[in-house]
Amino acid sequence: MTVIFMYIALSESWTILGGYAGYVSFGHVAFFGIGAYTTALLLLHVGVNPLFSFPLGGVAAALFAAVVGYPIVRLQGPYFSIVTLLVALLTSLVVKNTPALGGTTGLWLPLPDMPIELNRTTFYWFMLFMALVATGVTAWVENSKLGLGLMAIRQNEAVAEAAGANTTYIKLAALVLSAGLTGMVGGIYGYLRSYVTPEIVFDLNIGVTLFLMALFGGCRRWQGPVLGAVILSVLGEFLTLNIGEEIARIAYGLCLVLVVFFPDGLVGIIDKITVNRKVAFGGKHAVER
Amino acid sequence: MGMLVTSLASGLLLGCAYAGAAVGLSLAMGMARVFNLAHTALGLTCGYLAYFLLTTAGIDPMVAVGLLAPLMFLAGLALWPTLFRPTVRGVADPALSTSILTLGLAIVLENALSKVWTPNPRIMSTPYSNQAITLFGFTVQGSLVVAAVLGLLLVLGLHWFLNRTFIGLAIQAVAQEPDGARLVGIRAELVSMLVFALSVGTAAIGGVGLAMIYSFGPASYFDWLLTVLLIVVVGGAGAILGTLISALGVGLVLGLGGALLPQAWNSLILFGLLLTILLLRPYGLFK
Amino acid sequence: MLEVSGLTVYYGPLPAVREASLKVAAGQFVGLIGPNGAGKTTLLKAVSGLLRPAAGRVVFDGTDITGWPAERICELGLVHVPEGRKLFPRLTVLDNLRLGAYLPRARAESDRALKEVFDLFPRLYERRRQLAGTLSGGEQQMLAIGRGLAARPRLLILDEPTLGLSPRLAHEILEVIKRLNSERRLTLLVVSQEVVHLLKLADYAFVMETGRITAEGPASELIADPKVRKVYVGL
Repeated sequence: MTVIFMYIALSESWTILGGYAGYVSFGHVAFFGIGAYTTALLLLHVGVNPLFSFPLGGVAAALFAAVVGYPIVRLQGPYFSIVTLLVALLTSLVVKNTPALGGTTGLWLPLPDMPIELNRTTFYWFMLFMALVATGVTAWVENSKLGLGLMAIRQNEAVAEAAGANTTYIKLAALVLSAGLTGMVGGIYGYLRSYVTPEIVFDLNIGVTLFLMALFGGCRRWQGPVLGAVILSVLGEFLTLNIGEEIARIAYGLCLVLVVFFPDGLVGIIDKITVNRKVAFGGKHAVER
Repeated sequence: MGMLVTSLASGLLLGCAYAGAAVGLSLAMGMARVFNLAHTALGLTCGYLAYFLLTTAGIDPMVAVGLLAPLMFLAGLALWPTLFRPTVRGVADPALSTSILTLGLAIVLENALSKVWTPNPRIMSTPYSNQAITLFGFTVQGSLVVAAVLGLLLVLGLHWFLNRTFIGLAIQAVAQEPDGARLVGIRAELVSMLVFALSVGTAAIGGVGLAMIYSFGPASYFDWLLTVLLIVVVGGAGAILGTLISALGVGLVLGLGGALLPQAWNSLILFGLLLTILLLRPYGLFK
Repeated sequence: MLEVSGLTVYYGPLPAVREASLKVAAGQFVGLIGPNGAGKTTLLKAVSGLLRPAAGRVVFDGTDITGWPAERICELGLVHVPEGRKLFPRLTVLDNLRLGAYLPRARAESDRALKEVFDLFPRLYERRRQLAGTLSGGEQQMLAIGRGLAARPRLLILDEPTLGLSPRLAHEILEVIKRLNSERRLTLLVVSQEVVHLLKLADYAFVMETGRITAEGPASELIADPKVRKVYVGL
């Protein structure tokens, strides 16, 4: 369950830019990893428990996004996607080669001093909290001025720009917000694993899974990522346990292929079914669409 | 000094091999609007198949290429109407939708390879793979020479095909001015399908070439992909000779870097270069 | 030879052409005139298959070609030289012309067609090895017409062949077009802003305004029509 909540939080955060504006980031795991390293360092050097400092992980990731984001959000389509992927790779590479960050072996975090059961439930509640926060923020963005701008960008960026919207600023704001949320989740995750290494917290599989879930569920609305994260987490877990991890990954890959044919995801399919019903009743508006 | 010159020479050969792996992607990106992130994964799959043929039946990879490339061409013909045409047509940004589609394909292929052949690295060993060949006074590895010749022949062959045959001209026409092409009676849809199939067919040649040079595992396609993307972005999508020139440059960087710097630096340079170029000139240096 | 009836074409959400009808008889030189944005280009695109009409019929030589793709329409011999020329800029003049004769029907005669085009436009022969994108505007227009002729048309549609050219060059091009009609009996449908000159050369003409055909008649009568004179000739 804890993992499902984590993925809900991650794919919701990703949706703010990737879904609403259609800027598909392949490298969100960079922000996740930065969050994890921030809280880990704070624990080891300052002695602050990550369960208190995880918002700082978000701040660090958001700052990072604000610094590197400006040139990146001006790229289009797959060029944006590839560059975000490269940012994740480079960040991971830098961490691997920085002894102060533990290099490839990473940082070992002493677990919270409490019974294992309590430990588990603690993380459960924290991830649930993050899932709620991320979903709430994303839902709020959807109906906000920012969301309106992002959706205008998705529909036609040139028109949005001509209408006077500062699209670069809007995209950057969305990226920073999205990165901040992702970093907070990462800050908790590192502590949960009690072991922070580049392999674990910059794992590209996490980076792909989180946006696959958003796309699969439907990333035009905030309900989609929740749906996608729950269904795919359960599916992935089921396949991994019963057949093997590779098969689970193959299934994820196939979902990604599938998503291209249903750009509005499950939510979009559900919408269509309900709209068709309205057509059956002779709704004029629906017919025109 | 001698070592430096040798690593320059093998860098150029490496560049030729990479040109073979990159040219198909350049073709697909420049002329069929397909941003194929599965290009090297398809190539790697062929590398594994060539490995399989070599280890079980003793078939030389050079022969295997002759079997695999036409097979992949057919696979491309089958993939276009089923997966790719719906992804390209009537979509606001075909490059983005195809990149998501092909990322999915790449993940499927990677894990299928891992399932069939395990994640352990493989090496293709042929009689000539470790044989030292002396070319113009430089001593280089035999398999590197073979892969380089394959790549070079492929690039030059494609260049000839695109500029000296009628179908090649039609392909360029569709890429340069789709409406104009339709008005002279060219069936743009068929041409796109042909380009895509060609691109996938060449992925086989490039992939087997790289598999002859490097030890490879199911995840190797990823590093190959980034290198190949760098080559295509520098050379300009759709520019065949541009791809060759930029591949030679990247090969030199890799060859020299491999000789002078530790491995980690090599990927750092590669990723860094790609990042910089994408940020500054995302549509190629020569456009 | 060409019969368009009740054609309605949407360009975006709005109809750019509304229930337009026109006829071109074999051997005729027909002009189509009207102000910018009247829908002339959209109409031609729907005839040649670049756009799909929402309603109406296009019949060419007895075949209903409504909604056919452009490449099949070209095969029948209805060839469209579009506005903006749509040449292949990074191919040579020669390759552009060869591609004009892409279809098997035209390829069989491509050597003869090439010779005819070069006779018509000697300038193109001089520049045959040059990339099309490096030609001057007038030369590009010649090449566009040449490419259309290489497709062995029975009906040639020319959209704004004089756009952006100097008056002298525009007249020169129109004269060549006239010769195609009078010497080779090529059927023509031509749109041009050079209204007076076009009407002097054409046999028959249609006037288009805000998506509709509003007037038609023998070109010599239209040119005398006070309304047409007032709007287009500026007299």
